[in-house]
Amino acid sequence: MIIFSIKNAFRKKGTAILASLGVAFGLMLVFVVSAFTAGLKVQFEDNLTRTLGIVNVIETSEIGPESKLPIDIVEKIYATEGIGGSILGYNVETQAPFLFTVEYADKLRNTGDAIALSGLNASIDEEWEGYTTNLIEGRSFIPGQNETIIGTNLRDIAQFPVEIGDIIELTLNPINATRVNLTIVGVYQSINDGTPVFVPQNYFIYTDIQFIWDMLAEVNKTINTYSLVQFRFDVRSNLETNQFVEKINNASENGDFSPTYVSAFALATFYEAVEENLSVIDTFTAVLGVITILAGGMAIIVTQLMSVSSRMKEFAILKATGWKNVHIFVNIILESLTLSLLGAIIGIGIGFGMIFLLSGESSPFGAAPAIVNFIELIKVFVYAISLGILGGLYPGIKAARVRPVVVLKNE
Amino acid sequence: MLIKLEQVSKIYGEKETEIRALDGVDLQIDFGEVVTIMGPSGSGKTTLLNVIGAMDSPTSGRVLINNRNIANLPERSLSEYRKNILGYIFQNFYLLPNIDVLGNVLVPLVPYIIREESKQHAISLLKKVGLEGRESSKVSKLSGGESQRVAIARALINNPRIILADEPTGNLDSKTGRNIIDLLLKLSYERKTVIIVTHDPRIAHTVSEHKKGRNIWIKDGKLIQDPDFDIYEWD
Repeated sequence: MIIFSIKNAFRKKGTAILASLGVAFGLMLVFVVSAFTAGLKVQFEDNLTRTLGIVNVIETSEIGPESKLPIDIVEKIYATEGIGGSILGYNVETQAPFLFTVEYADKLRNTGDAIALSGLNASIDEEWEGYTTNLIEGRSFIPGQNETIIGTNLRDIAQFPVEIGDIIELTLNPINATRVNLTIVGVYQSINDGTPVFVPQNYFIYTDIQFIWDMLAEVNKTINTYSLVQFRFDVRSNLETNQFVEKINNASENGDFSPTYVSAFALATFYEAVEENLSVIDTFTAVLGVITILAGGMAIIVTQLMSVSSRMKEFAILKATGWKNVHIFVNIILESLTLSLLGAIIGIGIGFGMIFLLSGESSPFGAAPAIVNFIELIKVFVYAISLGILGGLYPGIKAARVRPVVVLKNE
Repeated sequence: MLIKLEQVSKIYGEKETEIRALDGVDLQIDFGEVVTIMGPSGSGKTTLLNVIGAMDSPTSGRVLINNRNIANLPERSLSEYRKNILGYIFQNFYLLPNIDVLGNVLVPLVPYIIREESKQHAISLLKKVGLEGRESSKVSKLSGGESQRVAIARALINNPRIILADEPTGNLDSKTGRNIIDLLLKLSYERKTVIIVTHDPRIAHTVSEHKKGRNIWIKDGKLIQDPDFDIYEWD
């Protein structure tokens, strides 16, 4: 019966293949969106785990290089009641003005992309297990040696030499062309936080914090400050992390760090919010699936109705040879399933191609994470089976109800 | 008695538009008989065949097959009857174009498990109808006579007791038609009952010469027994 139905499904090859392709494109869309949603979920869950308990502190209303926290802010926060005892560790950064690396901006991927030079205290960063301990190539910078480490994300897209031994030339003063060279000595594994690459972003490169302070002193005559301090708290949930965020912000508002005012925030809160928003994509995928079933079902209904209408005589003969109504109905359903399952196979094939293209480094989504698991594949086949049955239902009933005597009399 | 019709009537339409396709038909046909049903167009011969073949139900009367009245059986039981007792042969052969000769012969068995012995049976039937070695041929490549032979093999695949043939030679030339009738006549030696609807008096003549042959004339839905067809000869 199955082989018989498969052969019959392709009696009009052109129409059958068009119907299958219609189904294929719909299912491909469901498959690709599901795979990327699953990938993003895993990524955001990873980010959530990675950033659990981490609280970033910056100067209130300032970001990046403009945030200037006195270096004693760490001690002050440690000394705040109800906070210090729960801190497991900290790290500090001082970000250089974007002016230093502005000449590289047009050699990155998008307008708005920038190289962000930041200084780290190597020993503190090592204890924090930060970027200097996360190298996949070369070694960490040595203080006083004008060395830098760059991220894999910059290495992958930079349109200028970024191999170990290459030079990053900093422009301290564009007017008198004061320049300082930094030698690339290592590459750290950058973290993909799920930001699409068409969104402007900063590519962080790190050097010794004293180097940044020295350069800032030369250019702006500023004293040593941090632009960002990160604390890791001993917590089990993001809720607890947020309690510490609130405590720091309250202490700041109470003037505990006066004359400095700080803003604290937890990265995990951001990831948690994004992850919650992914449920919207889940709903979207489900709606897409239903639309696909309806649209694909319609394509199959039309194809099968055309087929059934031209084969009424045949069904009459089959009945005359002893076929029951249910046999004819099942035959039509199997034909519809053949078309929809072929559509699923083609859709999955095209979907894999799309995922390969969209998750590649050169894609506009920049290595967007996609996870193809067994469940996603099963989901596509469930959709295909559903629309096969739905699409074959009416034509099947119509074919099964044929009255041989009426059809053959008209002959 | 294999087939027994008692006061069978088939009425189409109502009151003013009423047409009596069969009008109180009484008929008995025994095992191994070969019967032609002849008559002018609209006389009711195909309706009679359809009633015997459970393709149409009578308005009144009883259609007894092996002493079982099939007149008002549910569709499911009628399918069983058509599958197990009947073999249908049509004027236009009605072979499925997308499957080969062997596949067409096996069509009645498709909803069930087709075992190797069924295939062997189909091959032996093709040999019997003179199509040995043509199992894999496309039906579109067959001549009219060959197509009708495939249709006969298909009708025989379930080893039916009754063969119903509706104008089996209507689309064939004279010589091929004669061969097909000879083939159908041979089936009576296997105690199969063969009922042939035809316009062709030469078939009636041939059947009348057969040992268990009989001709029935139908006009305005009523039967006329044993008219004289001796004046008709094959070319």
